Amino acid sequence: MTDSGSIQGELQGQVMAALWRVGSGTVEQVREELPPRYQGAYNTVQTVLNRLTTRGLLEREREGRGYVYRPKVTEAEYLSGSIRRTLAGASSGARQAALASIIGGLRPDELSELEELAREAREPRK
Amino acid sequence: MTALLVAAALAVCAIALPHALRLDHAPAGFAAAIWLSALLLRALASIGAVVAIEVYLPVTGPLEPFGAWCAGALSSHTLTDALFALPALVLAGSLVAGIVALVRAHRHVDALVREYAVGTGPDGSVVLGDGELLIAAAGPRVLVSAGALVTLDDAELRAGLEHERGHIVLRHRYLLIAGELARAVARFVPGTSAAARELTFALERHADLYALSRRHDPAVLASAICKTARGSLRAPALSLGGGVVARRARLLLEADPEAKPPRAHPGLFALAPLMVALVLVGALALPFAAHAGYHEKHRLGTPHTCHASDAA
Repeated sequence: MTDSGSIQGELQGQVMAALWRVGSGTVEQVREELPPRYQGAYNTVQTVLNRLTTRGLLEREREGRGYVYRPKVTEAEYLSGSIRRTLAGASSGARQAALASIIGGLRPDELSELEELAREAREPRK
Repeated sequence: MTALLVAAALAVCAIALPHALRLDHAPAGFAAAIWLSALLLRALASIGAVVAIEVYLPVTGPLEPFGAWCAGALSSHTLTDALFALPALVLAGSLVAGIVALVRAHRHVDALVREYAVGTGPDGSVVLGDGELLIAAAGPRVLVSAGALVTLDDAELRAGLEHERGHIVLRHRYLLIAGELARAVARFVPGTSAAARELTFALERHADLYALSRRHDPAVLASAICKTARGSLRAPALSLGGGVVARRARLLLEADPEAKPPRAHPGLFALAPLMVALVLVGALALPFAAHAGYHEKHRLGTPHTCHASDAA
């Protein structure tokens, strides 16, 4: 609602995205992973990481004098729920068109991975 | 007969009255009680209409001008009985469909928790690892999505969680269940869906006032409501972005910050079991009423079955 409120939300989103990219990291590692626009003071990043830990989105482990932060929610979990529900709510034709559009934008190596995943998904049904 | 007509006219007036009143500025608990009562009246009126069709209408012999006939084993009376039993069957089917919808909604929430829960969040809430924006009361627990935890700032999150705790403390789920059962029975009375929507709106406003009484800024709560309303997740009934968002936000900003905190009013809370009992007793009485109507007709000596001689 306030400018500081929306900035807080943006920064939290950027910190989560950075942690998803690196898997886990210290305050400094996360800070380096942030886009230049969001690379604020060390304390700011630490505050956001601690806040996300209190909120139950991250877990932390002591390592030396600091902490290593790790996301409790994977990026795939974060994104897939909404995609699945959006597709579930669409008509059959729209669902196929949307999936075709997504698949059309994939690289050949991603397509191969997708084929492998589709094969694995089909196997238990046999 | 006149007394019955007067009672019917009074019931129609009582059902229609809440729609004519401006309840937005009435205390939210009072508005919820009014809408719950209106739904109860609608359900009872539906049951009354069905009983009248089953028991009283056949006695007046509305189809007699067409004469009695037999076609094989089928008599005009068998057909008339089936015809007059149809509204009761439809009403019973609607009640069963309403109960099934409630059970499905409950299972949907359980599945949501089973599939997406990743641990405990702020103030004992259950965190769902979902990117959509959701804060909702589901039974005795508050669900909050990862999307909401990432997007909302501290003040918005605290206000949103307090709003959902309001639903739990004020025991809104029982009122909502009672309202949904009444809505199922009164499905065919015009304006029932609007009355059910108004009940949900009054309950959301009641929880808003609970959050405000805990010293949360109305503008902050309004902002949290607007943000979560943008989420497209199929949310449980009592969720932060529920109700008509612009209307809720306007009322929040106009609310008196010094107003007394809302509480679970015993009168309002007593309405829920009373409603469920009345609706269920009424619905269960339908087959007996139909049976009584059947006997009343045959006591008057109208033949029911066809014999070979009738067909000839």
